[in-house]
Amino acid sequence: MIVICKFQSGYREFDLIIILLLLSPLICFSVGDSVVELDSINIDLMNEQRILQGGKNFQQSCMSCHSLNSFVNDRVAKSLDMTSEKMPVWPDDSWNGHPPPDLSLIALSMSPEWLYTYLRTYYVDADRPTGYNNLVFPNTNMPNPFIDLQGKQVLIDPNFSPSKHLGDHALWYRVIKLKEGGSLSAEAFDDYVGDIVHFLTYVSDPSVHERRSMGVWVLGYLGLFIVITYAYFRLVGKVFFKPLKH
Amino acid sequence: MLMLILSVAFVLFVLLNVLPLFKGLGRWIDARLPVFSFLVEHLSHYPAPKNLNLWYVFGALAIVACAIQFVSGIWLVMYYTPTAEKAFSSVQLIMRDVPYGWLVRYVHSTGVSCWFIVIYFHIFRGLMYGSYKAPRELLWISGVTLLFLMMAEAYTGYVLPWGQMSFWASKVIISLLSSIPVVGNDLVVWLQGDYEVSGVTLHRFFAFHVVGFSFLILLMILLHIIMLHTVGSNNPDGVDIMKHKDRKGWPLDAVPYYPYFVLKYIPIILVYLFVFFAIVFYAPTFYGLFLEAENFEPANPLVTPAHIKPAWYLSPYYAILRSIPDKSLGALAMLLSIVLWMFLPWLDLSPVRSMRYRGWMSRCALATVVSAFILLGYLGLQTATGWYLLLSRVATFLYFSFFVLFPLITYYDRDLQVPERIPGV
Repeated sequence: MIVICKFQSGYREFDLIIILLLLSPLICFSVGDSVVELDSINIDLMNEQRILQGGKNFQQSCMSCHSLNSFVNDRVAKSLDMTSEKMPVWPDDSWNGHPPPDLSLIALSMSPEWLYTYLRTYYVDADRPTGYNNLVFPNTNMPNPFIDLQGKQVLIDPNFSPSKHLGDHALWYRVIKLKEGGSLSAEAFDDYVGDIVHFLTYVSDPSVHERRSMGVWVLGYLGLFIVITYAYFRLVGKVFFKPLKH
Repeated sequence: MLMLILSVAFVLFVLLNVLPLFKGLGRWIDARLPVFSFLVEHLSHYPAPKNLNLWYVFGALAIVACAIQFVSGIWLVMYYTPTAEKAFSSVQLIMRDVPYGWLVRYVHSTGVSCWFIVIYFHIFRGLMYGSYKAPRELLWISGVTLLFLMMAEAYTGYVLPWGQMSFWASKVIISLLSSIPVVGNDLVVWLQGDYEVSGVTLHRFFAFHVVGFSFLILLMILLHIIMLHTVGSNNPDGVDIMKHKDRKGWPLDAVPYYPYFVLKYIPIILVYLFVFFAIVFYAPTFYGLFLEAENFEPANPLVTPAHIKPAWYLSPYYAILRSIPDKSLGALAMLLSIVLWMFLPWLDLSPVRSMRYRGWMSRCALATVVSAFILLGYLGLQTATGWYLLLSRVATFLYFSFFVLFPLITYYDRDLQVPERIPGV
């Protein structure tokens, strides 16, 4: 109805664009149903130190199984000495037909938030062959890589079943608790995983530094042009565009 | 490249104008290849109604967007490998190892979304001001054909990165063709080049994307502009400017397109480029809407994604397809949802063009069909269950009821008197 009223009062068609823009938040982005709410993580890709530290953590905890085949020619990969020879190779039929995937694009195909929560929500589950289950990715095939660092987490309510609570979006620390601490404190472990997530986010799109520094120049150039043309039109426009007045 | 062409054109322009010697050369060329008089004819001798507003910039922007796609596409083809084994990794090669490959790829992937945004605004402008009405029926039909070709181009291009969603979306859409009676199944096998969607299909789609549809689009744009320049631009008041001309035959309410509108639109084209490059440099995936998360996973014929969805610009049609329980009827409805627009010039029985002089019923009809389209676009990206499915059926019903009711509405609507000349402010 707003659309119609605006139409009638003074033919201001540009109001329609504003209405369309107001509608645009409708196009929100669905996140897959999970048992728990994903933790937010503030990814700062300008923090080179964190990315490098994450790369070291990745080599320590992940690279025995996961490859980063698209990444090996990158500057950061070279400084971390990640070469294609060091990348693990799995035949298709290994791990019961589920070989560990390549993680070059994992932060784009999932999300940094998903990774950050997923890696910290393993809990003891005797029914699983690996002895551990996961809240974000129930019945995951990946064994818990952080038993030594994080320690053991257990369910607060022993009758909890992920399949029953799918789509609940509970807070994960209300569902599981740390029973035995590992070699890292809880905060240090969060940082450890956070570094890995920083690293994987960088790996999924290493153009980010070049993009941001180049973007400033391109947008600045265009912005300057916009200002110049706008100023020019303000100065001479009234005379020049006189034939357009009606 | 574009800069190079532009600067060469600029130097030529200066040389041909400033030096009398070269001016002679210009005349010599023009007598044999009338390129300069063609430009004069179609820019500075083209009468544009003087009340054209900002909605009319989208046509020019569509040409800019098209040029961006062609230039960036040529560079992508240089490094892309259209085989099932190499396609996904060759895109990563472009993104990581080719100097500025990421820029070219992001420009191409952002470009398609921006092109569709521009085109949808362009179409809405045509609907709002009645630009499809006589004498512009064929111009309108060529535009609908262009939309169809753009969708085919975008769809074949979407398959090329060979990610999960590329693979499964192509499978879903190709399987729709099997519902065509008699020839359906043979057509599917012929298109796929195989009994399943495979690397052969990818290679075919590459050919369609790079040569087939792109050249048809160029041809159709040319026809679109030829038709526009034959019948002339409509305007926000829908006044026929050709009725009142001066002694030289120039319409009284028109100004030359160049310099007036070319200059007026330059800052807006710059603003468009600013927004475009802001997305390219700072949000190239645009929160999963321009580049979907699922498509960063390589195609795997053994694992079906939980939720198959199309790119956002095709999602309204996909929502129509899903809202109808029968697959063949759904495919038919999807086809009709675009083809029916071609008949709009004859479904509209109103004597006036622009919504400015139409009654409330026509305005409601337009607002309803646009809202239904936007709603369908949103629903096409969600899972079709429960309320969403019901809502998409309501929206589909509203969308198609437009075509049934529009003749009645425009016949009975109380329109205002359109002035003879373009009215003053």
